[in-house]
Amino acid sequence: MRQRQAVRLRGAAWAVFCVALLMSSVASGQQRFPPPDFETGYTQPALQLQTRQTFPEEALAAGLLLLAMGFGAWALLWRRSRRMIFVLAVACLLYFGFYRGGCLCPIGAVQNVMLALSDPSYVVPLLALVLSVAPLVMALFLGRVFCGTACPLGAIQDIFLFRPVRVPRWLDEGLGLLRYVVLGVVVYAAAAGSFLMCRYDPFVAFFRFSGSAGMLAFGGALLILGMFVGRPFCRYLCPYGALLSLAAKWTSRGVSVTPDECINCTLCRDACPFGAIVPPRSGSRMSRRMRAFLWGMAILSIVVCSAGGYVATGRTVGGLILGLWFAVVIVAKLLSLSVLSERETYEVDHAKCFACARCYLSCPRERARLKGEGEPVES
Amino acid sequence: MSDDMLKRAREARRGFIKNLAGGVGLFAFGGLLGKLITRTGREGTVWQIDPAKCTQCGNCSEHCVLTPSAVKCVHDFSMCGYCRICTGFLVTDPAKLNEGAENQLCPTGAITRKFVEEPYYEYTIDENLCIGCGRCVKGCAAFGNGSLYLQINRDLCINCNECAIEAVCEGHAIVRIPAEKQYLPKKHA
Repeated sequence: MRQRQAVRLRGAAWAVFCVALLMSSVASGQQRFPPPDFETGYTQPALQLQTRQTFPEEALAAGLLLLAMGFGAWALLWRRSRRMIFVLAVACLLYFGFYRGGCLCPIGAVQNVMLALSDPSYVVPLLALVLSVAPLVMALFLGRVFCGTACPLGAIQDIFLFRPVRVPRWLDEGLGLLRYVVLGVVVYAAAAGSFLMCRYDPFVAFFRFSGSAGMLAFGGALLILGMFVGRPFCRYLCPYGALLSLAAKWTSRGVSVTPDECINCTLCRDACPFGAIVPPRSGSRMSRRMRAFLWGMAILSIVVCSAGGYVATGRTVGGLILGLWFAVVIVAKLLSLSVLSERETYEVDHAKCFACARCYLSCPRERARLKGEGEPVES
Repeated sequence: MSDDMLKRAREARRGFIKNLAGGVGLFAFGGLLGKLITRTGREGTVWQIDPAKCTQCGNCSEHCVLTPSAVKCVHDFSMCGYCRICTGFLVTDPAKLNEGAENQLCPTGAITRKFVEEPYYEYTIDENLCIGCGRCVKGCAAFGNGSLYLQINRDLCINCNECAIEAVCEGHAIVRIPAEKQYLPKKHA
């Protein structure tokens, strides 16, 4: 019995070998027809593959990004000039957006990093590394400087903002959760090698001047919406923005509307088109009922989302983790809406602030500083 | 403790937590950067077709984000047989053995046939007309020497982070190679 199996295996191996030989000969170019024997002195043209000098454009782009962010941080936090920020944003839109075609962008770069972590053989472009890490490191300390200065997708929405309309808080918070969902899905797909953000990026079709009808329609719709709702993609869909928000929660030296002390004049609140300036409030502690509700929601979402993720992706651990991430996002959002920290003055919510510097001139303390008058407010 | 002291303590506490979180984050990102920086290509990578894996499925002309596609047919003359009846030039069952458009495989007429000497003919590809459909490549590989093959033109390709053709390539032939290498030529038999 075993001998017959061995013979069958050997026969199969031979068959595979022969087929492979045939296929490989076609694949590498088999000389079915012999090389020609020219008698008239004809010389064969060389292979027409141009090799062009590789200019290290990727390194240049990485360097320019760091420069732009550094200059942006200075213009935002020391010089406090909206005009400089606007000019910088337009310049970056032209270079990173239209000249480089909006690719690589940090949103895409996160996918490269994820793939590099899951696939040891993958060579990650240097620009992708710089693009994904540098803005996050800056956001940890100085806030989302990248969003307001260097991001071409943000800049193109910003210049379309004509008549900002305030989005009701409940809608803003709810839709803001979408970013984290998109982040989870994009990272999950990237680990498998599929770059969803590259396929569905709404603005890259404009930057490249070519794209499918669907991409152009999606981008166009976002830009039209962006005329009234400030930066809709950034606030509700951008997965990198979700990461930046998480990092910007710890901003210690970020944007401050007032150059010195806030006098609670309430004038800045409507100056921000993105709802990033928050008013003073008294703190609150959780009641027993609230605590029980939160615990219940936590357990429910963890169970439902993990199980859902596990089953929906065909029983994979990756799907389980994705589901768990959704549960964590839901619970964290509920917590942040239930445990209210006390605020005495009007403050900038760095997780929402896009560092556009529109708010500066609304502050009377800032106007006084520019005029060179006024004593610092005694606290 | 007075209100003022409580306030100051709260501010100090928040500041400390923020700085600590910032430091931890910096450490984490620095670690990530350090771990991955050894795996970066010196000048990045470019997309190329591995001619050994290409199945000439025709997706190259349809799925590139650019129109026309950045994929072009390339002719390695050193492998060519210079045949009078080229199976990459003519359809398998031509009505007549001439250069009529209905007899050519190429939908855009990008292949020009030139007489060299008896019985040899030279076939060249006009890249401006080529759309990268791969019909000539299929014919050449099936019945000829396989000197025609599809390759991504470095000067046209805009090097998307995810190649739209790679996502649908039936032979999984599109690979990233270091930019210093630039072109994947077809290996000779």
